[in-house]
Amino acid sequence: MLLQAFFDVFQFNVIGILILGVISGIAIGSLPGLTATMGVALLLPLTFGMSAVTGVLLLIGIYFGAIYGGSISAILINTPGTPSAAATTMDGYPLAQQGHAKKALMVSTISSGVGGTISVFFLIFFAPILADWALEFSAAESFALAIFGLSIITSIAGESMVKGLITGVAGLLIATMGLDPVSGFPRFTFGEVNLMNGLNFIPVMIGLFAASEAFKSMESINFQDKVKVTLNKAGLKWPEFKRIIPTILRSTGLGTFIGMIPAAGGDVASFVSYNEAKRFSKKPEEFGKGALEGISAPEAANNATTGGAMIPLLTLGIPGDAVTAVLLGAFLVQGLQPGPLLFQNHGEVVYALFIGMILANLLIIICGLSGIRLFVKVLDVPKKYLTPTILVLCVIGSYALNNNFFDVWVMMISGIVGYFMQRYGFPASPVILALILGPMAESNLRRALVMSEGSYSIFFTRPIACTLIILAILTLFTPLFRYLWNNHKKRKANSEAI
Amino acid sequence: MKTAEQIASFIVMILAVAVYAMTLQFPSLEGFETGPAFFPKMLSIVFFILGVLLFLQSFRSSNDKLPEKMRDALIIMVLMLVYLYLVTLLGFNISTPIILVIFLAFLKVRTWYSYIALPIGVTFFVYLIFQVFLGVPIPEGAMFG
Amino acid sequence: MERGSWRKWVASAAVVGMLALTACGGGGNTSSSGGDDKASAASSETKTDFPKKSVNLIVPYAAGGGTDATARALAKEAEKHLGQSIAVVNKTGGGGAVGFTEGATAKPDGYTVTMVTVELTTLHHLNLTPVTYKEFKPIAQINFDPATITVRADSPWKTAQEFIDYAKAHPGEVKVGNSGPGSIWHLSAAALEKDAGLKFNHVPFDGAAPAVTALLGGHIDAVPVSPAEVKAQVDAGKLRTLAIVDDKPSDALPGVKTLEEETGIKTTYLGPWRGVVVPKDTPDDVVQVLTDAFMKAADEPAFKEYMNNNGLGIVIKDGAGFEKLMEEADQSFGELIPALGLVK
Repeated sequence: MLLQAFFDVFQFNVIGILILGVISGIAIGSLPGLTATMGVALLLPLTFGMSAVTGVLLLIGIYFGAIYGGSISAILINTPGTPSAAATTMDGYPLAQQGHAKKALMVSTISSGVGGTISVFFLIFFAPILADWALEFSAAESFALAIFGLSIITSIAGESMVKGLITGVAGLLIATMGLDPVSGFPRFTFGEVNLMNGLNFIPVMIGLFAASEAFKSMESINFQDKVKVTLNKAGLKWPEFKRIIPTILRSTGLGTFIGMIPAAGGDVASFVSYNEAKRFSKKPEEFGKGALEGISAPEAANNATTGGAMIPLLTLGIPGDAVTAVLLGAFLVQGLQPGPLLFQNHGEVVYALFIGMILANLLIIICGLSGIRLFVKVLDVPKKYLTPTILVLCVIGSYALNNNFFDVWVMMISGIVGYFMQRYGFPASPVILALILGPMAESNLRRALVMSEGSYSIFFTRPIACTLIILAILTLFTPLFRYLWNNHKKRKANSEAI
Repeated sequence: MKTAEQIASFIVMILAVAVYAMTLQFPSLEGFETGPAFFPKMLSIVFFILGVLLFLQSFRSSNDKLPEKMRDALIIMVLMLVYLYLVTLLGFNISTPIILVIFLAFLKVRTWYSYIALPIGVTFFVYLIFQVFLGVPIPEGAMFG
Repeated sequence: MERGSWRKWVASAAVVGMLALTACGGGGNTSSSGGDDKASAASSETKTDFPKKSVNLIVPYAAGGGTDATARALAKEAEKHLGQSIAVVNKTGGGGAVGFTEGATAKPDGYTVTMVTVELTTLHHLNLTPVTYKEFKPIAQINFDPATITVRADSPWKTAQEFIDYAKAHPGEVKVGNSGPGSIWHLSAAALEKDAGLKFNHVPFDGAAPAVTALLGGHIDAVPVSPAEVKAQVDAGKLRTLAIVDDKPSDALPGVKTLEEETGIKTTYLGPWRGVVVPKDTPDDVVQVLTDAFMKAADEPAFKEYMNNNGLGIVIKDGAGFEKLMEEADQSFGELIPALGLVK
């Protein structure tokens, strides 16, 4: 059967389609506003006429490619192409600013490919066990995971803790807009139908990162500041790579695991892994200024979620997120019902898919590494041409999400607010983190309380939930104490100096 | 920085009070203390406290430098608003080349062929990727919709 | 810096100029499109030559969802019978309200068709949109999926009767997952509650799939979702469907009886449906052309195969039948939703 699967995959047209998928995926992912979900959904009709293996592998190529592609624009122009790459901007862009774009892209490419490949091996060897374990995750655990993710705010707050917390809480407040997840009551919608499901966070992200950065670059553009970044030709060196291997492995584990959990995907995984990389790092102070681990952690994690997300899809027939929901549709159109019986009834298809997925990840490394020379050309484009182009892409990207001009206004307002935030030292990443995790935290808290009929004990009697909450409290307060302690020392030193 | 931080802290405090006031109007659910108002109410209190902290912290910040470089960024924002208005009216394919020419003039680009190559190139690229390749509609504008 | 300032003046002058131009251009263009209206009105007095250009099909949900996929599969077949291409346009937002509004306020010339779903008859009762089914003229219904009562395979309830009896004896204890507050599965479960004299603990999830996942994990006791949404797990022996809440069994789950056969309980058969509509002022001859095309499309083997592969129930009705369904659904939800305490 395995041999048959090899023959199914190693055909000229299957490989060709897979390469096509990965390359289109990278292109889609790197454009702001075009997400992996959209790419897969919009190209789904193309697969109707293909064989099951070819069709599904085309979509998988797009999916994997897009998740990786988001990092390219995140690193080069501080614009996460997909939500999963939001965390990558924190260290990727500073590195590119210092002239190390090539190295940053190499780290992201290799981390993505390796993370993705290992997660497929998890899928192949442990899918049934892991799927059962993922089912243990209920509302209480998801709430705890969201809180754990949110606790990262204090460590990505940047220079001023108060400002970081302000933008984080502002993000959480924005996330409460729209229908209440339990009662359906419309909150802060002001009668606007477009706000009923809350603010779409992708336009907010495009505005806060891409548009505000474009506005900022205008400050210097007319002053002929000749601070052109010269591209450092040096790539990733072996000792540097050796140093990030533990980060890649840890993040891959986290990513695979978070990918399996219903309603948590690459965006959550990348932030959590970023924080864990920082926690385990010997030099946490380098994070946010251009640490290689700061790229490899989110990138390995978000590509690892792809293998993770396939676990409940293939073994249970349940899509864990929007992309896998579309993939489920692609299977069904081919007359294949994912679920426990898929392995029994269509084993050869499953094996062919596994081989295809590994190939897709290897193709990411091949296409990515050979494309770097092309990608960095973006940096050679003078700002006078690049900035207007980025602004136009922000507009069309926000519009394309829902074909709704309301989202374009959201992007524009976020861009203006983001510009002033950046100017006065209010970091943008906590807002995105809060928008991703806020709804997850609230709806699961409320859902858990509905299930427990109002008793809070549900969070402490369940081991996974309890552990995560304790970890969250530790994560939340460690940097806070460290910050207060340092401040205290500084003030003491100052007063002694006087 | 000082004045800016103080203004920001006031905005935060005012928003916090406004959110808190709005949550008072939210209905409560039978038998649950954690209704629709629970999360936003709690957050608004935290938000207010953070506003106060920012205000206190601002006294330790340096005095404001005059933001002289901000002018060009502000002009671009205004141009963008004009652009969005044009898109709703004329559609994307017509407004984009227009605004790109204006941007280039504003940025004092001297090479004349850029005024043709960039606007047409960008518009065509977007048309190709979004409309032809992905089949996503591009804003058409009120006049042609 | 001063040297370049004239360019800025030129730029601002250009902006002002463009605005003035668009204002004039806008005026000119409106009058010309008015001319088009008259022309098309004149031609429709005689035999209609609709459609002369491609037709837009508005889908109020995101690309990749079930409604989107169904719309695309249907559009592909309908193109053959319409003789023009059909472009699927996703207008997402407000749980469907944005797309419904867009569809209702479109020019009633038949070139904008909207795929509507059961939410058209629930959202306005939830005070979430003013749009109702009355603002549309129905073309055809293509799908209806019934509710089920599905529990874990290892649950103590072997029959629907046992489930009902237990729920009756333990009011408020049976945790029933649904796909969101005010969603169709919440309302179906509520209708069953009302008609069987039960009280469930409704647990809202963000969609049907997470609810099924929670049931598999044993975190809730039952789900009311459609046969297609539980078929994989039922076939694999992990879940058990006790009854189909409809007047006939489902092709997707052969062997499972209806609720009435099992328990004798009669309830309103509420479930998601999908259909195609146009704005209510669309001329009748245009509606006729569209109805013919979409009814034939729904009957195409390729479309039926798509629906069967996805486990979606094929229920095809013409305009009159679809109108009746929407009217009845709207009335049931009008009674059910206020009683649930969802409207504040």
